[in-house]
Amino acid sequence: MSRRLAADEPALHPGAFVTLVIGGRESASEVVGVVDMGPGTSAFTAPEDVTRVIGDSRARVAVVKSARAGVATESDLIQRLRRDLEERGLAVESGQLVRASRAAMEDHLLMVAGFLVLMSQLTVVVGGLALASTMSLAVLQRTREIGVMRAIGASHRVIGLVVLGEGTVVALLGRALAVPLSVPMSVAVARSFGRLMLPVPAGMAPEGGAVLAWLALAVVVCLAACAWPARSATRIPTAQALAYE
Amino acid sequence: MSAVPERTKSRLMGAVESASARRSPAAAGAGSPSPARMALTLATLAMGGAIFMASLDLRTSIRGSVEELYGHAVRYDMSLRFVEPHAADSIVSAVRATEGVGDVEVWSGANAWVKHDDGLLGNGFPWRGSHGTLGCWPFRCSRDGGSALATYGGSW
Repeated sequence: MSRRLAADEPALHPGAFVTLVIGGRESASEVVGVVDMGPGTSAFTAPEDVTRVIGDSRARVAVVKSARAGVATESDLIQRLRRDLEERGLAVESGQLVRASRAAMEDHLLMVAGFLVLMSQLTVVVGGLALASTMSLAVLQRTREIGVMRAIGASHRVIGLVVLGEGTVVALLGRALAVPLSVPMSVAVARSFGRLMLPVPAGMAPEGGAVLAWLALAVVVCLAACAWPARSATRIPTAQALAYE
Repeated sequence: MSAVPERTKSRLMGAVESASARRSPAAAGAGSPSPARMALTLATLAMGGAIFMASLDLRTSIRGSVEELYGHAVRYDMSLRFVEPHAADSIVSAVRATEGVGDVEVWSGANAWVKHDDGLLGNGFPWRGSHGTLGCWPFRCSRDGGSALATYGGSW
């Protein structure tokens, strides 16, 4: 029987003798094993057993393997099969490509993860706003220092770079803290998702691509958050900055 | 280069000296953002980054699990359900007659329910008998390491 069925019915475990109700009649069965067989819940037995229990050896389902792989080839084959079988008097009720059902399942699950990505991006935006606020305050508090720097010859570019540099350090520190913090969070998210949707392996180390994506996002957020404070710092008149209390 | 007027220069230098000499709270260390504000900013950035990376990890995990479900375990490319049941041999021969078919397996069966000790029935599931030689299932897991189902594949 399938692993999904074993998960749904704890009574069905290898070695268990169970009573199945099939077609209104009870039938004693032994569970001989659990197998990975896709997302469905089903149990298999010898065809002779099916004939003996339900009194009918006829079948309603066929699974087909294509001689050649490929989406177009498989789509073409299933259409030709339906047509050919209809012509031979075997009317087909429904046909489904495994590739299509897999894509549907994956899309459905990834949509849930997509909402989480969206929420995380909103959190990063909030972090960017906090950084912008902090840097704006820092520029205000350093008005006189900025005035002194300008008085001794610092250019707009240098003053802007000082602000950007400080913002970058804060953003990189945030990134450095985020990497170890993401490990327990990944485990918690994967476990929650597994309980609700589908068991997924919990990431015990940050994925390389995710770390790089976060680095790129942190740099962009940092530049965006520090742009306005840096611009403000370069636009304070020197005399006004020096006189700032 | 234009010369700076003497009066402006002296005013500027006076302001610089005055600014350097003053020890107001702003000049005495309040120039940096407060530690609490900085800690909150860092915490927000770190939390956002951690959730961002966790969500990307989850996407990878989902793809891995779907690959685990379908990639290794499902060995056929398409399934067909007929309006009426037919003899397994006639389905196999009709399907094989179409060009491009690699292999075919036919399933007979009915829905089954587990009868629990308390007399209640569990959820229904398909109970099937397999006709054919496709060997759709790899049977990687079974009782005692696989011996019970190892002979499957057309010769149960």
